[in-house]
Amino acid sequence: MIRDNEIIRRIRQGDIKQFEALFRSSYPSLVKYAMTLIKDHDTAEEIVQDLFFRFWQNKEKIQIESSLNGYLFRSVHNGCLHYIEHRKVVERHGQEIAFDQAPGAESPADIIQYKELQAKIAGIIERLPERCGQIFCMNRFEGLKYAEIAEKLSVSVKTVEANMGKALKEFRKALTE
Amino acid sequence: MRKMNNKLKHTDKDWGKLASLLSGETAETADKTDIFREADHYSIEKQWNEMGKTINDKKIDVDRAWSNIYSRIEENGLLSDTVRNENRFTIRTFIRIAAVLIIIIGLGATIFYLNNTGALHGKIVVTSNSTERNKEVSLPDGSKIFLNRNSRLSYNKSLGHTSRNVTLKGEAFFDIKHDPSKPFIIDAGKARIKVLGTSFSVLTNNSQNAVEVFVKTGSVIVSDSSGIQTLVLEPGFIGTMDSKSSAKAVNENHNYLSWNTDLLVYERETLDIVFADLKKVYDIDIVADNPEILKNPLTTTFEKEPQDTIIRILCSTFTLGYKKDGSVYHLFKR
Repeated sequence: MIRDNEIIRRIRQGDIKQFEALFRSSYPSLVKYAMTLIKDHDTAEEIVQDLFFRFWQNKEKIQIESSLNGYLFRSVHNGCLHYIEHRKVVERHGQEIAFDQAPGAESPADIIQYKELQAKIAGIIERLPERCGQIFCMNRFEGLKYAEIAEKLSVSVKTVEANMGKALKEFRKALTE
Repeated sequence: MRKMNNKLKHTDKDWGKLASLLSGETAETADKTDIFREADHYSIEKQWNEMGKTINDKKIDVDRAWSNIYSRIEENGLLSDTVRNENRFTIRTFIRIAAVLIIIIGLGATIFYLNNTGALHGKIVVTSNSTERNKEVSLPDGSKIFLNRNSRLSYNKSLGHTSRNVTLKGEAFFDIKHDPSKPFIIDAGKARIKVLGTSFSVLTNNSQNAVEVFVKTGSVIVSDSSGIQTLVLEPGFIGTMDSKSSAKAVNENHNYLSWNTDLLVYERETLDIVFADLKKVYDIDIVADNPEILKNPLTTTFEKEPQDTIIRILCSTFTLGYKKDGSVYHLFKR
């Protein structure tokens, strides 16, 4: 597995193949994540595509402090918020569109909790170590099984399990803070 | 504060187990409560599950999305540097690939050649060219095979040890040593010919594209490649077989095997028939400038005569003249 710095270095040099690989591996998770914030599938895809386009456009200038995965999730998160703000302005009535209801959530408490979680996800992903964040996103957003993740990343199922545990721990911490 | 303490009690392993449980990787077990006893565990389970949930499961088309982005990058002229880089790389790669291909083709050709000559499989291949008639092949089991022109016979070096199999393309006369324990089997393309010990001829592709077998002595079993049709031929019979049909008839041409026996016997046979036989035996074309010539009846025997002698005998018998043009003889009335 190539490390984040190496991927970023290559993309900065204009390696479109590397960029494509990054795109292909993270696009589904990012779209699904965007869809937890905005329920419109096409818009979610648009936001993520736009992010990647701007990533390439500004590849020389981009500073990534967290993991690459965290950076992408943060960018999608911000992109979605931006879109929601924009729509709020457009729709004069100012219906609350931000943080749509969680599917199946009924009580106001549930909704509030869900919103809290959504607001924090990108931040938490950013804090997770490189591989841990990647594994977490593949499982939670792409819906891949541990075995599938292990195969894709050429690691053992035990490693996947350990990283998922680490991610859960982080989430617990963030949500009880 | 109490919560904090509880949380700290869990080891990394516990968190791993819990994550598997929540992600549906492991089935729910009794120790679920042991691992995760906190009162609020329900809420995290719910949140964990809702995280990845989306309203519809519309398929995400990554290929299409990538081509969108790629064309956007291209349209904005953000690709030029990269493309040039790629080209340089491609030429080097091309040369490398070409070198590898040349080696592979070379190896392939060698293997093909060795395979064809049978050197790789202990296979023996005998071929006859367009001037070789009656090329004799002696097999390890004592059988003799005579190849007509442009034919190819292949068999395994070990023929006779456990089985007797040969493959024929073209025409050949077989004189097979009797061995009831090991039938002699010929793969003739569209047909398989099986004998215990006998003499017969095989033509793998007659004028109707069928396999033709003529039996001189003994009996021969001919079957098609799928084994559905079977013919049993006794001496004097000709059997034909292709993938669709088979037929059996008494051979009325007593010069059928002349290419092998070097013996042509005629009793009041018209010259057009004679010329057809000469074509088969000597591979010569005889053209009569007057169709009347072809109706002359011939009664004679040619045994091991060179082709020029035969033409001269025919000419003096019927008062004809001839002119040789390559392998074509032109006959005319004198």
